[in-house]
Amino acid sequence: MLQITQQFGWRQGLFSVKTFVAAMLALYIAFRLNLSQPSWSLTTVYIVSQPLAGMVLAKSLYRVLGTLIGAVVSLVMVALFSNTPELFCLALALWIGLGTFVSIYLRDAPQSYAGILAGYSAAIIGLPAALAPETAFDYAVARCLEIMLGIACGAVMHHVIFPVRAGDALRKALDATLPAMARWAGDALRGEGSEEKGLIDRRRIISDVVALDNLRVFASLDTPSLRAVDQVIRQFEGQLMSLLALLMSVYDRFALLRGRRPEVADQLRPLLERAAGCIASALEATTPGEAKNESEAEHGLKADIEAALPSSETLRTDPDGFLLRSILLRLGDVIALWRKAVWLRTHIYVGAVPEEDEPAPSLRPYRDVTLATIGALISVVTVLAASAFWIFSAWPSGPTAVTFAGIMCAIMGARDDPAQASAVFLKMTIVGVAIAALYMIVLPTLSTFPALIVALAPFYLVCGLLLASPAMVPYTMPMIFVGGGLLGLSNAMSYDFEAFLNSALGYVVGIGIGALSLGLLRPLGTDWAVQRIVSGIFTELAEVAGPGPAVPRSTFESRMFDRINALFMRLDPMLADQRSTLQASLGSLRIGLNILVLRTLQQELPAEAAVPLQQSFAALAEYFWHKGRKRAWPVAVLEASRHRILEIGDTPALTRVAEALYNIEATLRLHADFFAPTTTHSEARDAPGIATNRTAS
Amino acid sequence: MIKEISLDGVYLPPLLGYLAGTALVWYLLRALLGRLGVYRYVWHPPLFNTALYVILLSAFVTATL
Repeated sequence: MLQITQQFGWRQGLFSVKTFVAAMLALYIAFRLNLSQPSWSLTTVYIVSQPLAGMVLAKSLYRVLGTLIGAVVSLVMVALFSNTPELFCLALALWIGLGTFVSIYLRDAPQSYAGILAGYSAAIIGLPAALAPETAFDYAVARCLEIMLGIACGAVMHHVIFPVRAGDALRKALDATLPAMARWAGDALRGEGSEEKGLIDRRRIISDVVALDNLRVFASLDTPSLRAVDQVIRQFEGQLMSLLALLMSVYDRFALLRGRRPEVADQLRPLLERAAGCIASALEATTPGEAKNESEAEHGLKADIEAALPSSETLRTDPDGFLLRSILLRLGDVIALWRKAVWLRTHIYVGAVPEEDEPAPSLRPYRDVTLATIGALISVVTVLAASAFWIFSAWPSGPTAVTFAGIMCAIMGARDDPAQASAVFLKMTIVGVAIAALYMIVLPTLSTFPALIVALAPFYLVCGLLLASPAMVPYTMPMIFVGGGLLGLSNAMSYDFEAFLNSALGYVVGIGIGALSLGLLRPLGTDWAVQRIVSGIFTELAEVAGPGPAVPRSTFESRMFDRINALFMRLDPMLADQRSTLQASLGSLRIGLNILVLRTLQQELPAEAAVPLQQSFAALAEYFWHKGRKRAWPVAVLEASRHRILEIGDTPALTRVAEALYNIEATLRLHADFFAPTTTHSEARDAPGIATNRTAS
Repeated sequence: MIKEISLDGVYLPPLLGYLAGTALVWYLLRALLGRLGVYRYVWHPPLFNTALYVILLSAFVTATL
């Protein structure tokens, strides 16, 4: 708590004041227009207000879109089912389920908010409208108007008055990324730092790149000058992802080499040192022209790398030769890619689009249909249960409870641990009820709008301050939501304490039902989320190895990095077993990239290489599809294919294929406890042909 | 069962009082059971907690009939 209070400075204060002014403006206009529920405008301002202007715009856009869709759907449902509450509730439950599905499916994309809103707006508008169909249309229009009014005030305020732009944050992040990466690359190439530190750095860099992409989306909304180079930024992100994969691969293999052949590793050190130096010096370029120029040192380094490659004779007799070879080749790739990344970065500096434009890879996030379906079903069941409770008990506050049960499922569905998050929501709801009750005592004594502002200021200014810190948002939102909703500020205020308590009960019971059903049906929390991601990684690998059309490299990389980032956000590199899962997830990325290499080289190989290669693909695809359950551990097949391919000849393509096969095999062995969850690990590790026998076989 | 609750002349459904009272007892009981380590032997804590709440509520309602 102390740390949180220390975060508050003038920025947070300014944000809070800006939000409050926007909210009061929205409230005033709503009063002047005599809208039926001015408090919705007020609450909306607080819901869309976030620290960055681009974020506000994105959320506003999808809130409006979602509200409009929800309003139209609720009117349709009222027209069809207003006489049969059971059918109406069924339709509503299915609709909220659909909204939940969309929002979980889209994960952290800003569009997912539209799914949440479309779902629960139908409940907010539809239920009261179904009870009084003659006012349905006016009610729906009023809700849309109030939301838009709140959004207009909030967006204008955060956009015009001392805006904090996502574009500026993006520029800062871009400036910081390359130097940070260069530092890390230097450490990685010199083999410095402990394993934990290395993983923590990796986690930071992966999440930085993923955060860059989020910022990019918001920046293109609030900073026109960056919109022009949007594509270049996307390419730059793609380069960073590939660089990350390469550097990790060099680092991990070098560590392996140090363990197995310390003398070879020591010979390699000066080369890695020089590469680290080249990376640091390439950073100094500021224009695209400068970035294109290769320095002398780099030229020399490339030639030396070429010279150090082990001969094909060595490869046939010494399996560790592949290790050395792949380190050297990846090192060459790192330097080439680094140059290109710097070159792209300079383009972003000067705001130009490169001449030789290749289509930018879009970062493709992974999708989890199973999780979205489960979330949707839970929403449906919860809304149905709340509706049944209402219909059978004929409780006057029933509709409120149904609405809030639906809202809970829609908002919480996408969380890892919705049960815990909704328990927090429930507790803060009760706090919100208490605050609203206090206001019920204070407000009747006021008669002017300025007096109302003064009365509301303490509560809302504190809420605004808390909203500026992301950690406090889950605690603040329920108070704003519930406090604002219960006060129900309007021109014709009625201070009926009984009605107030009844609707407060409706809120608490509805949110309680939501929290309860999420607790009963989704109790699994983070462990389950990690399992889902891991099984997703297996599926991803099976698809790459499978017989379908080849997956483009950039697509595979960005999906995998998205999953790996999701893992890094949930696991702790300081704990041994979680660390090994993280290492293995990075290993999976390498396995996938090597499979992709095999698939691209397939066409260049002589005919007799086709059979062993096909066998390897089949073994891998089979193994990964079944998540390693009761399937043959594919290492033996890979090893046999490698030997057969090496016997065919030593063209560059064949050598590359043999190398890729070796890499896959080595990574599988290295992370046997991750990839072979059901076989005994000793069996997996001590499979015949482990590279410890260095005699020529 | 208590017939009605009157708060300063405002009449409220009696169930509200029962729900709130039960919640209070349940909260304390849950903390106590957590202390005693009972939850280590429970298969599905949320389900256990829900059942506990319903049992308590029924007990209070029938006790005051």
